[in-house]
Amino acid sequence: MNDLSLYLLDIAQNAIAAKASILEITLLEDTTKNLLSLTIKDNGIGMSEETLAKVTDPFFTTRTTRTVGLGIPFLKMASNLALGDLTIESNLGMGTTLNTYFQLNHINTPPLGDITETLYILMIHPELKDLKYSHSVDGMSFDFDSGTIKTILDGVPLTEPSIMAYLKSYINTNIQKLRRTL
Amino acid sequence: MKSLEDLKKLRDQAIKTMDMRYHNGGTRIQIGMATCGIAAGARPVMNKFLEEIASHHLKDVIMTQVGCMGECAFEPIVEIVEQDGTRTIYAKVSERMVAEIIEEHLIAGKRLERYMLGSIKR
Repeated sequence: MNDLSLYLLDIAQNAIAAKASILEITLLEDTTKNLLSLTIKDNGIGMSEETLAKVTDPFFTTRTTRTVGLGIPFLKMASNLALGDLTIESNLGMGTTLNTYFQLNHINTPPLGDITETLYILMIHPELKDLKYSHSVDGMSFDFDSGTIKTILDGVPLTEPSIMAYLKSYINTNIQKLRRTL
Repeated sequence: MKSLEDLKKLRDQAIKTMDMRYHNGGTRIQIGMATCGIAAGARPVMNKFLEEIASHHLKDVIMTQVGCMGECAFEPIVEIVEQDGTRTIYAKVSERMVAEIIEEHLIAGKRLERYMLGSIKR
């Protein structure tokens, strides 16, 4: 995987597979702490201690179509290469929270990539009722909540052409503005 | 910061022109969005499908994200399930193939044999 937005999409798909209906994504970029941190919290079925201990092992997976599971090991390796790490907290029935961090200016830190495309694809996922996104850069932040957007739309699909164009531009413009100073 | 204030206006405009016959009886396009799919480029392919569906004003087409079907080496994999149950699996789908799949398969009703998993795996 080439960038963080793809890792984010991958981890979010895990959450959806774990029956999450609410996903909270927190992305933090802090130049003084030289930190890039990504937290993905879901309200899915969670994992037992036993499962949790195995998820960073590439030869562990819950899927039945193949025997390897590379999503989390890939992201852990990427963070370790940029002097960061990946941790997961989870309890059965209590959802899962994954955090990964990187040294912001490390040469191995992946670029953010197209966060807008990832968020849009998650927003339109029928299983995900609410996507909350909070992105902060040196104290300034951009927050949005797909639940609010769906309330405004009141039944009009997010994939309606004019709405799709508007939402992508809304997210993209705000993220660009926020990251101007980086 | 750009705000959401125009969204309500757009919504009200959209509802006037929108065909409200959204139902589940149409064509379903399924794209593999597991680690293998994402790593192979499924996200931009899905995005391209959404754009093409919008620009061709296709109303009875829904796009869904699915997991891995075990043919990871052939991702991005796109499966088209028609109303009558006919299934077509396209493999190694790239962004540039999307418009062709939409125009030939979905609009003209001709399956693109050369992009199908069966032809590629051979």
